[in-house]
Amino acid sequence: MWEESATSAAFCMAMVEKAAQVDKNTPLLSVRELLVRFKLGDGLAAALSRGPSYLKAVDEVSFDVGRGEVLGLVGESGSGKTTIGKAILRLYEPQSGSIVVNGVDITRMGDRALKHYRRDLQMVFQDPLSSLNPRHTVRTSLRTPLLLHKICPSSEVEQRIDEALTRAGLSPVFKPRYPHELSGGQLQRVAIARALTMSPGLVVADEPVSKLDVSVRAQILNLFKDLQAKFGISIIFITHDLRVARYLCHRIGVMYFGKLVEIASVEELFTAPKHPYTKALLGTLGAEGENLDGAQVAGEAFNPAADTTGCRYYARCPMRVDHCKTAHPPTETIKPGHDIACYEWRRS
Amino acid sequence: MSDVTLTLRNLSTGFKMGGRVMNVVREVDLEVRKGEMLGLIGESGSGKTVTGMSILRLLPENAVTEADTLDFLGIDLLKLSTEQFREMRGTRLAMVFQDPVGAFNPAKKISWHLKQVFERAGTKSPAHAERAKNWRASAIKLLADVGIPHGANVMRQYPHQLSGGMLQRTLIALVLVFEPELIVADEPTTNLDNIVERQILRLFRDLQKRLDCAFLYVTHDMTIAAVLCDRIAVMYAGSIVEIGPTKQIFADPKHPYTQGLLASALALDTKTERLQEIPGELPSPGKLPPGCLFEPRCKFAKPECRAKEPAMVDVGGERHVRCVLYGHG
Ligand SMILES: Nc1ncnc2c1ncn2[C@@H]1O[C@H](COP(=O)(O)OP(=O)(O)OP(=O)(O)O)[C@@H](O)[C@H]1O
Ligand SMILES: Nc1ncnc2c1ncn2[C@@H]1O[C@H](COP(=O)(O)OP(=O)(O)OP(=O)(O)O)[C@@H](O)[C@H]1O
Ligand code: SF4
Ligand code: SF4
Ligand SMILES: [Mg+2]
Ligand SMILES: [Mg+2]
Repeated sequence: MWEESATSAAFCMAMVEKAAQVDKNTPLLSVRELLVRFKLGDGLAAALSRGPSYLKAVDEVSFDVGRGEVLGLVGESGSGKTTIGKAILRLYEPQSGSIVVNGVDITRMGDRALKHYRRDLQMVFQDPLSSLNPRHTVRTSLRTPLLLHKICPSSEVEQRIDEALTRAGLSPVFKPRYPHELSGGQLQRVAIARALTMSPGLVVADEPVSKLDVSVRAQILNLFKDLQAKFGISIIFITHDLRVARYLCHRIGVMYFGKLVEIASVEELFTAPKHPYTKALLGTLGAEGENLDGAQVAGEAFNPAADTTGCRYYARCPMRVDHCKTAHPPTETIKPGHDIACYEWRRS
Repeated sequence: MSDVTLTLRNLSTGFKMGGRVMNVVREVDLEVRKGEMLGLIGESGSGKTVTGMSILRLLPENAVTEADTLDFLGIDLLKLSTEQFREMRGTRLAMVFQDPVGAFNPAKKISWHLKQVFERAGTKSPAHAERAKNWRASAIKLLADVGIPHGANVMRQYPHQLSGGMLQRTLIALVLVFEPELIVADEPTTNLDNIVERQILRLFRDLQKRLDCAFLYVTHDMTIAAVLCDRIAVMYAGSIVEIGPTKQIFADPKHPYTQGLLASALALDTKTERLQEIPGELPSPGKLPPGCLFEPRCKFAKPECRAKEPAMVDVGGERHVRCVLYGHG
């Protein structure tokens, strides 16, 4: 991974002059050592504890997304999945690390230059109600970005909106509705349609099917699959549903408290998971996950604000040894395409 | 006293749009028994949330709700004034919303929300009063129960600073403070990873067993419906099309829509190249087909299905189906 990063950094310098042609082998997206932190609390507590405390929501995470690849991100709630997505779209400013799109480093790019990329990078937000303007009808919400980015002649805008809604499984009769007049699943499809009208190169889809019934979900998952196959769109697919991830994704990354703890191809991850947390997650699938008893508890967990040393998973790990307390394990490549951060993976 | 917590008879809800009322929930009959989990499943947009919001009087101004019976533990909910109803909402019957963001005051920290709720619940019982006195410690314990181990940190944050799943769990914690007798849970665990999800489900199960709490549990997750719910009601285009004990419905779904839904759900359990969809889409409100609402998409449709909307048919074993294949009621 490291050599790759160095060459792509050199490569991206060249790209600044010649942005047009990009080597097919350059990943569409390269995220390196990404660190996003938030200030925690304020007032007295912060003053007493010698300066503000921070929460590292995303802690030195690196991964690539290839052209036409679907990368799944799964993991603990609150582990930083949404934050990664928002940082890639530059909705959050990273503390350090880099985000390279098509060979061009956009980590600190100014707003004007960024406008060009904004269209190419789209996000379907986890919470569609707060991502759509409550005072805009569905039609307006879809039309505004089309006109802003001059995606198509204004005479074709209406047709394009209808197509996008229909593809997202929603009848165009809902165009005059306001967000609060739609059901959860209908809203989610509006959000999907809006991202797709832009013909993006990369879509960050944050739990895009979690509010849909299984039949509509099948339709949307098939749609994502087609978009990827026909148009080579790359997708970062954030989901908590492992079966959905297995169906759609080529590779899957597993997050735990800001850290990417394992990343591997779907086959590899499902047949030979190595990280204890990945194993715990997969253990909830299938027959043994069918009853509620005996499942493990998320209670005793890492405190992201206070604990700074040691493996993030230490408190819950059934395989922990004393050594794990010293520092969070570094990421190792144990096979081409299979990276893991655990000292004890050989024992699994 | 009877063993039924909630009885709904002939509930219809519509919205005034462009001068007419468009019904999105039509003639729904339901009964939730004490200590029962009744699952409500069905197509997105079929009226599950609106049904729940109708029971709790949470719909906007332009909504029109009608019912013959709306009985909660012997209390005729239809007769309560707005003021009386507000007293009960939250404390005795409560809703966990599909969208947690809207349930919070964005300008107030999480601690403010918890304090309010503990204080309000304080009058319910001596145990509640005790917890209200030590609300901060009680809150931290409760947050731990819903899988937020470092509650003290979270209490200092504002709603927008929490991840989707953390906010959802905080909302569940707020509802649990009251230990209400009926909880309408609208997809309460979407956005949660499986491990945390299971923890929350155990918490619900515990409430159900310990306090005989009744649940109307809206979900799209068939695995959860199967492990958690005692009975299942299936909704399509505003109507209940099938209802019965969970095991039987999963083993032998009767209504063609239920059959399609379960087939779609199972598809993800096996390795497939392409998922099976139910072709076609939900009829748009205001343009309902004559007769059976599922007819345009049904592979068993015959001419008589278009004549009039099928009646609910009692097929035995506490099962009811709205489809002419099983008789005419
Ligand atoms: N704007 C913000 N200000 C402060 N903290 C934040 C902010 N956004 C997120 N966080 C914190 O960062 C951490 C990661 O949040 P994030 O939303 O990325 O999690 P997630 O993996 O998407 O979780 P979920 O599955 O629940 O959606 C959480 O602890 C959250 O409280
Ligand atoms: N305020 C409103 N005004 C007009 N129509 C509304 C309003 N709220 C909901 N509807 C419509 O009522 C129908 C039922 O919505 P409801 O939210 O109950 O669906 P749902 O079954 O909960 O779906 P989902 O699974 O997507 O959450 C939908 O067609 C929706 O568009
Ligand atoms: S490094 Fe140690 S504590 Fe961390 S996951 Fe591996 S075995 Fe467990
Ligand atoms: S009544 Fe007819 S159209 Fe409706 S579900 Fe039954 S067979 Fe299908
Ligand atoms: Mg998230
Ligand atoms: Mg709903």
